[in-house]
Amino acid sequence: MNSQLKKGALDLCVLSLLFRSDKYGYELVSNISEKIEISEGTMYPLLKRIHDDGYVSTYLKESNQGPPRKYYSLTEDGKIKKTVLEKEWYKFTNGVESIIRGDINE
Amino acid sequence: MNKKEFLRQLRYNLNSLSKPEIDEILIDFEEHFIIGEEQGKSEQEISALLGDPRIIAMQFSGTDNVSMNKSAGTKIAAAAGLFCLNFFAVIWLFVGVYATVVGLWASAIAIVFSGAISSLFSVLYPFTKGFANFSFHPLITFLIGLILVLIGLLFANFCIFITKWLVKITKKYINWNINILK
Repeated sequence: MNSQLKKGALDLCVLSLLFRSDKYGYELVSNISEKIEISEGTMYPLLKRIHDDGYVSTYLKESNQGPPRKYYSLTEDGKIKKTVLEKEWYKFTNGVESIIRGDINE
Repeated sequence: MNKKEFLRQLRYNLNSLSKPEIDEILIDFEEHFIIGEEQGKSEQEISALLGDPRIIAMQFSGTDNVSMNKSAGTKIAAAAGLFCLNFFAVIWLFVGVYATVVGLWASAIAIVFSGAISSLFSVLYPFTKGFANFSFHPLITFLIGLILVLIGLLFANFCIFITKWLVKITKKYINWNINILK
């Protein structure tokens, strides 16, 4: 799959998962790798990037076992970004699907 | 690859980032390994799923991308270097070349102008013979004037070509400067 396309799709996946609830890194990575084939390590640069862009914030929370975990939480900007990316995604995939199906005016 | 080796390779390839950033990234991966092990995975399995630490490091540094994230220090050094290069060499080179082109244009215009005047004066021979000094027969003067106009126009054409080329080079050079500073 085109890496640029995959990057945009993964951004949307992370923002969508965080839209439902705050999650720690490992949780996010395994949620996504359950459904999509990725090198799990590439999720962390993505998380840092959307953190630097101000779409997510982080906080540490104690866990029952082991050291505290870093949780990611969607900011207001992140919520807006998620809505925008979601709209773009549906517009794009609907377009691609209709072309594949062949319902196009030639 | 075990956890220690994975983190070592990651740290080694992250050297373009700041120390606090590197520390934070390593803590994140350490956490990932710890939770993975709690879930019953081995260090080898976890690092295999994570992928190549060198590629991950490249993604952090943004060097897998066209737009590189340069540190503030690199930017300042680049700006200082460019300033020296421009101020001590390139600007003077450009001044010289531009002055030459202006000179070429002036000569082209002068040649066309002198030719035009010669021809015009020969055509108006009966009226101009009082104040114009004809070394040759008016017809020859007319032809010389015409040839001069043609040579001047050819020369002007060449000047247009040179000017366009110079503008292109200048734009390229400015863009190159901007790219370095980005």
